[in-house]
Amino acid sequence: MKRDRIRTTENAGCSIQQSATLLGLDTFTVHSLIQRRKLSADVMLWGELAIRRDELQRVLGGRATFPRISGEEI
Amino acid sequence: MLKRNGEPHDIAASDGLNRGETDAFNEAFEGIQEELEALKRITIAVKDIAEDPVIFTIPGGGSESGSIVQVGKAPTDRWQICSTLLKLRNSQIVLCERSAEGAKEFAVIERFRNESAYAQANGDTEVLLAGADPVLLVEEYAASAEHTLRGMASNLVAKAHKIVWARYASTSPARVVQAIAAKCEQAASLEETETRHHQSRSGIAFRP
Repeated sequence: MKRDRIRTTENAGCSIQQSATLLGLDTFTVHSLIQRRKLSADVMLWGELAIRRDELQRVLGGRATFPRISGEEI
Repeated sequence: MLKRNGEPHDIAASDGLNRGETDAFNEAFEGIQEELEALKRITIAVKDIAEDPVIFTIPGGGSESGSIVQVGKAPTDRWQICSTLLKLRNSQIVLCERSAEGAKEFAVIERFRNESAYAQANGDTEVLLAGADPVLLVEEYAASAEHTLRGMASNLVAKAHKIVWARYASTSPARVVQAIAAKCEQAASLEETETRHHQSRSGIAFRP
């Protein structure tokens, strides 16, 4: 039996993979930026990291656009 | 689900998981597979750095050795590449050197693709570490990269956990998540990569 997709505050942020695509970086580099505190991330349900849109905007100097990636809103 | 000759491709078929757990494992595994492969590739490269940091301090490592890297706009921020430590899809990490007032300085620098959004907003180079001893710097970078790999692995386990929980109400996720976690930890472990090298060379497929 499948559950419905989780509806939580996770939808307010981007996953690491989505953030990497948006920034034009590898996920390894995104994790490295988080560990060096150049990018802040929130810990979501199950411990997955998410990066808020305003944080991505900040690191991109306000130039971020949020396209749909793989059919998911980010 | 991956298909082969019209049949589901069970990635977790031999791990003692029951049918429902195997389905959950496979779906979660598919959700993290791409990132897990990247994790494995980077782990192998970091293991090389950790095992023999000295070789990376000898100028001539990589085709870009000797090239100049400009960090920022000041003329003093020009560095010469000694060797390439890590090549990623969208950036590379290089060990560089420069002379300042008769003394040599070294730095580990990340170079981003010019066209990436991050590089356009923040510049296409970033100094990660700097110091006077290149071997110590390379060792320090390897340790920091290993820490990053563990963070990646931990995030993949969390992502897999979320997929299992969201999709399969009747499946207790504990054993499935444990199997996924074992794969992710193995992928991020510098100790395990040699075994993986041998397995992949001999064509043995991985099972959780």
